[in-house]
Amino acid sequence: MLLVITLLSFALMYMAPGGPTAFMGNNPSVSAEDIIRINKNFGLDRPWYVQYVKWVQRILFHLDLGYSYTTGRPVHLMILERIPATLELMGSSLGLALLLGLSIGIVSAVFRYSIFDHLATFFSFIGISIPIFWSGILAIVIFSAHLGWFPSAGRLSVSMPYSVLDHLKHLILPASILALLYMSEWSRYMRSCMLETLSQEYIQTARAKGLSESKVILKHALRNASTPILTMITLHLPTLFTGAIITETIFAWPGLGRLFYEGVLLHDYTSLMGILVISSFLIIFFNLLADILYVVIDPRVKYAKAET
Amino acid sequence: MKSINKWLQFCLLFLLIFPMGCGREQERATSEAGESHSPAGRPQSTARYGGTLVIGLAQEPRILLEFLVGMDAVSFIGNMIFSKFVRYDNHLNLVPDLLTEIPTVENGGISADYLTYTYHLRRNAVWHDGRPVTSQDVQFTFDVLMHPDVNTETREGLDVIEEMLAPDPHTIVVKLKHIHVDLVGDLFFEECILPKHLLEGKIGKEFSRLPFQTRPVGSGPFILKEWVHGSHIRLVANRDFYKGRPYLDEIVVKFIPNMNTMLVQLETGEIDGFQQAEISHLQRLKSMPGTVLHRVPKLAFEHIDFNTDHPWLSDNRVRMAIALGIDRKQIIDKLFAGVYKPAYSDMPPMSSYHNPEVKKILRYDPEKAAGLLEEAGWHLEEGATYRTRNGKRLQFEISTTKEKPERELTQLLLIEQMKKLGIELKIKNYFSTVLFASQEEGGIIKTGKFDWVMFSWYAAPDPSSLESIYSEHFIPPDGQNYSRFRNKNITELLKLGTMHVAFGERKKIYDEVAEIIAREVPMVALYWRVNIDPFRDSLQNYKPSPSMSGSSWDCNEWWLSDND
Repeated sequence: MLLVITLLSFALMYMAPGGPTAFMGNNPSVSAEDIIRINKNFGLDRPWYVQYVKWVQRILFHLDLGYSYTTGRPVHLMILERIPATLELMGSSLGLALLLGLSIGIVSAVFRYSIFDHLATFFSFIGISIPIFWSGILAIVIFSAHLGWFPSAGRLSVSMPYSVLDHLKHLILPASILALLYMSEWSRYMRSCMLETLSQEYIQTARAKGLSESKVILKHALRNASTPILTMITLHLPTLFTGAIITETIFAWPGLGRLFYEGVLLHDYTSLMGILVISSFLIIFFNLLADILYVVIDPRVKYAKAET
Repeated sequence: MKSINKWLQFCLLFLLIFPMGCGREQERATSEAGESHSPAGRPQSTARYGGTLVIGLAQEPRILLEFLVGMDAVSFIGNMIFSKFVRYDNHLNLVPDLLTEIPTVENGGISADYLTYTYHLRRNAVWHDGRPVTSQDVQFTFDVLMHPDVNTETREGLDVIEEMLAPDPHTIVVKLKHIHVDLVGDLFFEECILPKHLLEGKIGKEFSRLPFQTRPVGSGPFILKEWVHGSHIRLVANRDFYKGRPYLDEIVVKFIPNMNTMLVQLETGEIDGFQQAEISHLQRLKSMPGTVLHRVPKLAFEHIDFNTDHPWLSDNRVRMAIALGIDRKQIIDKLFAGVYKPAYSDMPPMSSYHNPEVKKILRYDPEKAAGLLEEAGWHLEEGATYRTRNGKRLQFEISTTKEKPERELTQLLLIEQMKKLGIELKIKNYFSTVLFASQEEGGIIKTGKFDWVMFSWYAAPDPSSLESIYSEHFIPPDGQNYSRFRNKNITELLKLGTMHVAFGERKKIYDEVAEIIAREVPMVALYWRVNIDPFRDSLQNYKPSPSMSGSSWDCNEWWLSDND
């Protein structure tokens, strides 16, 4: 599976016109011979499938993602140094979204058509429809430029010693903006799952048995409603390690999303492939994890052995 | 219910606490108290030492060696760390950097036959690790640049060198294979001098992977202290710098890819300034208290190359008509708030090779343009919008890079202006990596798959580089004559220009070249870029150079008036 994904991405990348040295064409003093010489040094003059086989060999036998064409640094190092910042941003925004999104979804479902439900619906549609490149800038203008509550970009202040407070202040804006998007989606999703479960007959039965409303909701309804939610969340987990391109660009956050974006602009094949192979691996892994978790949470799901 | 209650409580708590937890106080760049002793032989008696300057940069350099990646961000920081032989100042004059003086025939630096150059290095120059900079380092750098496994982007000015000698630790003698008119401006202008003692024995295939590329040791005014990739670079003053200790203690360069964010960073004092503000931000910047807008004329000019292989564009009259139908003033006023300057030729107005006559030939004149099109057989039928000839409509495609919105806006105005002439113009844009890709990679320009192509050239201060753009020997794949312009006269003149050295003679040659290009119109120049660099008014002595030396060519002279 991974092989197919990497082969496809590799082929597509190489077949697209342009390459790591294409930008030099805009410099009048760089001659065609210069570019040919540099391509040769990089091994870019060989056919793409030869380069692909070399690339796969390096990964399989040496666990080596190669060196970046643009920075000359080992790709695994470039990815590793971005992981803390990426985890920090994605972790806090996914956590925040989870906490708020699911709570809002549950309350909305339980108190369907209440004022809270209407407000939640209204704001989550706003949250879903506003693109981050706009809401991010708006947040910066309001909270940094006008109110002066938070710094507008970066992960740390560059002109003062490290402090946790400073670190948190830098995190709040990008994490909240990103969380807003996830939260809006998840609260809608949670609401509909919960509503569906609440209308099931076994809920009626549970109520008829005389169980308290809190027990009905938390023990019976929530558990059954959480299976699809769990899938959705597990499938979002790979983004913990891949980052968010637009948010990171707007808030100058040194995460993996930006590394990927810059790699695309510069045709830095090796760093792109490095990020792609890791994220494809994570996506496959978390899909598998979601499947396993079904069984744990929902006793109705069982993976039967093939009948002989 | 218990756990859900806890959840909700926590959510509420979270919402309430966080905005309060973050105070309103503004952080400002803190700085050490400046030292008070005044430097010897410095013109500014009021200049103060100390302080940290925080600069925002939209693009993060990939490495810091300019000869491997020619890019503004690399030059900007590279110039702070490394020494060069020469730099261009803010008036486009060559000034010595690591040299004690610019070699000329008069001072004996250049031999009478223009084939031997003698360079004298400063005796007090030291590497950031304390070792002296000697002619051995220069010789070593030359070997590195010429090594087949080293990805030197261009060897212009290096490939003419027969041999480089180091008769003593502070003298370099360069012998040329043949005359190269711009050797002084070319040699070690973009190429930084490398430390032999740190790199010896590491030159080969592995060179492009050396940690030195991102953790370099130079001999320039500032020392690289840290590079947090994706975030910032921190540089500290080199107290042993040969031109005297830089005034600033520290320069921090922050990478902020979004220009809106950049603006807010300046507003909140998180950065002290940045380069190349967007024109659309001009009004807001003007209203920002305590901010000075430095206008920096650049050597970059936007232009259109016509594909003269195109059957209709091979007609000189059609090309001239298009050129006369372009209203530069409208483009500059509407899109660039009147900041950019109209361009009529390849030579920047501040250059001594600029020919003012050219403007008269290419002045906006739609009536004359219409007349030329009629003459070429392109007529406007009753009630028609576009001209036709033998039933075929006069239409072209204009291509440019997709990344810059200002280019697409320029295209829209051009479409309107051409419509007035009866020419239909259609947009067909590409990503720059596709547009500029090599012949083998199917690059649009190199393979000639365009009618008009619009992009910017960086005009070299010396006109000798025009040869690779207009000589018929430089038609792709062998050069950058993208308009496929074939003109014997130009080809000869440009060749001649690279041989004669006396200024008067060369000036005559290039004046003629400019006039021929204006009359034959293989390309139309549109505007010279003017950068707006907003900085806090406390930054003194910021004198950006229009050339590749950029704004950091004399960063050792920058100082802050409020650093105490």
